[in-house]
Amino acid sequence: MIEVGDLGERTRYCRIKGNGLRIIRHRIDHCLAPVVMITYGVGSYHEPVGGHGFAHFLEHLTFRARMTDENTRIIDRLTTLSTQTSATTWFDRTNYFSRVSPSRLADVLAVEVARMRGLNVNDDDVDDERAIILEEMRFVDTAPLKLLENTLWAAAYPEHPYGRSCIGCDSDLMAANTDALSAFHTANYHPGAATLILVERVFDPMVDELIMSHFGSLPALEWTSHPPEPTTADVPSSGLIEHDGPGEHALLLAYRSPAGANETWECLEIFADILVHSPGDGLAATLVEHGWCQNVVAILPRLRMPGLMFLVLTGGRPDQSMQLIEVVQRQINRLLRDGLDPARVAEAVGRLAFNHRSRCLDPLQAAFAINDAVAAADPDCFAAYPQRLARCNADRVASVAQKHLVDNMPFAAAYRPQRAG
Amino acid sequence: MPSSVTDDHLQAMAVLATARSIHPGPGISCCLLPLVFGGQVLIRVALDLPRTDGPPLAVAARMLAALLHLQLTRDTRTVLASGEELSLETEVQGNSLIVHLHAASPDAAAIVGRLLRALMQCPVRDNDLAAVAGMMLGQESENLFDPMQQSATLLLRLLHPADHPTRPPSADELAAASRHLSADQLSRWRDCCLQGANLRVSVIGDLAADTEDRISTILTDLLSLRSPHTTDDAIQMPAPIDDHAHQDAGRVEAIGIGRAIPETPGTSRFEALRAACHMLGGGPRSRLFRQLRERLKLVYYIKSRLHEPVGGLPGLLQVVAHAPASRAPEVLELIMAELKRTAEHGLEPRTIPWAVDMTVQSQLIDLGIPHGLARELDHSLRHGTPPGQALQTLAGLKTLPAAEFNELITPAFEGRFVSVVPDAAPASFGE
Repeated sequence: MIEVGDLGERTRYCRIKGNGLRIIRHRIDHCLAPVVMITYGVGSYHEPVGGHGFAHFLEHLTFRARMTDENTRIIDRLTTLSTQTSATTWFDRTNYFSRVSPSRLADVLAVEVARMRGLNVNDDDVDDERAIILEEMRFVDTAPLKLLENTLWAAAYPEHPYGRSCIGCDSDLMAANTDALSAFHTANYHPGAATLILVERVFDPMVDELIMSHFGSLPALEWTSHPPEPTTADVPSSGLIEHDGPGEHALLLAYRSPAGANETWECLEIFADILVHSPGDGLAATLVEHGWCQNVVAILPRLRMPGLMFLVLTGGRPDQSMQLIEVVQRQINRLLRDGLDPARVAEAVGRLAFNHRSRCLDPLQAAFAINDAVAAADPDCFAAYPQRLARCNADRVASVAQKHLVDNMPFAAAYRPQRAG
Repeated sequence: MPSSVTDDHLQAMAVLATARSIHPGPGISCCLLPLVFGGQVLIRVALDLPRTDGPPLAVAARMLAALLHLQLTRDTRTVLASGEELSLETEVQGNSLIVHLHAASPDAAAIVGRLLRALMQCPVRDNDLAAVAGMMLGQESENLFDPMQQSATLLLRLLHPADHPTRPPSADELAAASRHLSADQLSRWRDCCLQGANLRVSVIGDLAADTEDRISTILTDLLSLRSPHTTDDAIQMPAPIDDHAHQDAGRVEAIGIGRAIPETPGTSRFEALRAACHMLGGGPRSRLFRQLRERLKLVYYIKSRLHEPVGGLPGLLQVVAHAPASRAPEVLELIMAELKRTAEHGLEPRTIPWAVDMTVQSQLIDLGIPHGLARELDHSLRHGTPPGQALQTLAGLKTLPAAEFNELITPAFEGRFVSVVPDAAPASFGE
């Protein structure tokens, strides 16, 4: 195992020389149940034509797969070891995580090796999991906020995998078979495509030996990620895309955002924080105070490629979506009109750095923050986050905000609650 | 069961054993846990509010939470912080108003002092009323997109009589209460509620050697400002409901089934129920997950959970499944059958050690999260038990004969449950 880079005293970054598996170990003093997370650099970006939903299908199927040389399913083995074990799939990565008692660490690593080694499933397993995924699609993709989010990705990037739900589409899911899914597994599940993330209480050298004994003998395979470059569409002339259904009013605004490893990403995050959380005139205070809506949050996913930033406004009046959009845009223009106040930028940097440190006190959240940085292709985004924030001065933040939030108008979608006749 | 699990257990107990408690006077207590925390401190203040002659306590508590949040976040620079970064969250559970303050500060005692002064003295201004109402409704609306949370709220409403002081209010009730709000009224409730509240303070973080003494002095000074109610059972638990009731959930396609659980966390009965709940619907190995999702493919999401009693609200044994209205009767029937089976037979003896083991692991996970640790300290102050009581009890359950274990859990599954089911016609809700 060789050291790859210096990520500070609490984070170690290594690589297994023989097969390229990256290992990031992060230490939290009060972590009583370590997090074991494996992030594969494969997501819905990388799906073949006709294989829409394969990355997510594989995420499900690997739990149903049998351990190497055993008849035990991975899910059955994992659930005897861990009370919290799950996985997520997104555009640029798939990750698996388990919380375990320290004494079970070796057993969980053995399961993750089995998951990486091969997809030991049959046609019945594929059929069974397909039915569950179709039910998940109905459950997740029809939830109001997810529906709006999917709508905006599709509107902004109609020709790119971003424009398709990660869960997949009916026709490709129905056509998926064991051979095609196994081929997708073979191409993407191996050490060179993966990062093992461990969040634990202490750096025990025995754990390095444990990792080597489990993963060290896995073969090396060439793997490079070539996600397609996203090109955005124009904002539709209709302005607002609306969905009706039971629930609360929600309005999502989507702005084009830079790639996650690019330092302009932090600039946009700072501006979003100023826009929403500035004391006194931030949207979170003013819109609520004036009764325009009940909640405002900004969400900026850290992706490998340029993507979208979302403003989510919930609990507003369904007939005021257009006015809400105008209020938001007016506030953006007002902040930028006379030059962005450096004091506001410094405050936002302080808030974001503090939130990052607080988030990293929770072992699972820390693992996800590392995962996001790994998926964006630069673990430094996690370890040097406060320094990256500090390098963003007011002029730079203003110029990034101008480009992403003013020169490019937002895509907008609203969810309108149906009311009794 | 591997003996090494006990080592993990002991490690957690060793961390919790460093907690120290302070009891400066009636109605005030504090627990401090020194930890390496990256130069940060987490403070949890829990106020158990007494009844007032104002609106229902559950409504008043939410208004006060919104007021405190507004005042403290708007005036953080002058009121709470002297240059430190911090974040603040408020929540209401029954008659408990809970404030979490997370600060990047080397001086925990100073932050505690400023927070408590701010809590007791925050001003009420006329022009804040609209914002208080907006924030109160905003906090409630966050739950509307979470099936588990929304179902729990609906179940707790069903389990409480309409006039019970801690019955979770509906959005309409909150909106109505906020329309008739005046600054004077809010001021009066604040004084009455906060001065009469039982106060518990939990502090975790990098604590200086003199922190305990300084916080003790601060809390002793505070005694002169207050007249707390003397019993902690001022809010009576609701009487158990013996009817099987349905309510149209309307806003989410979640089926919720639940019943009130009066036991306290840390007792054998409650901890055994926690383990049983894990076996029932706690994850991919659970009975409900295997049957309804894996075998019958009727649902994608199904989960059971045991909510702890808090702030005068009872504990809640809850099962939530996400299914469309057309499938609700079938799903409901299958869940009820599983509950009945558990009432009749308990858990299979061979599954009990695993269920207990996984419950221990859940506790370890929870105690490894700052808010989970703070909740544990608060719980120990509330019940006068040492931190980590649940872990100790679970250690005892590991060796309990299966018949005795099942005697502990089956009564909770024998009574009738209340349920909320999705509405077939979403247009039946609204103004």
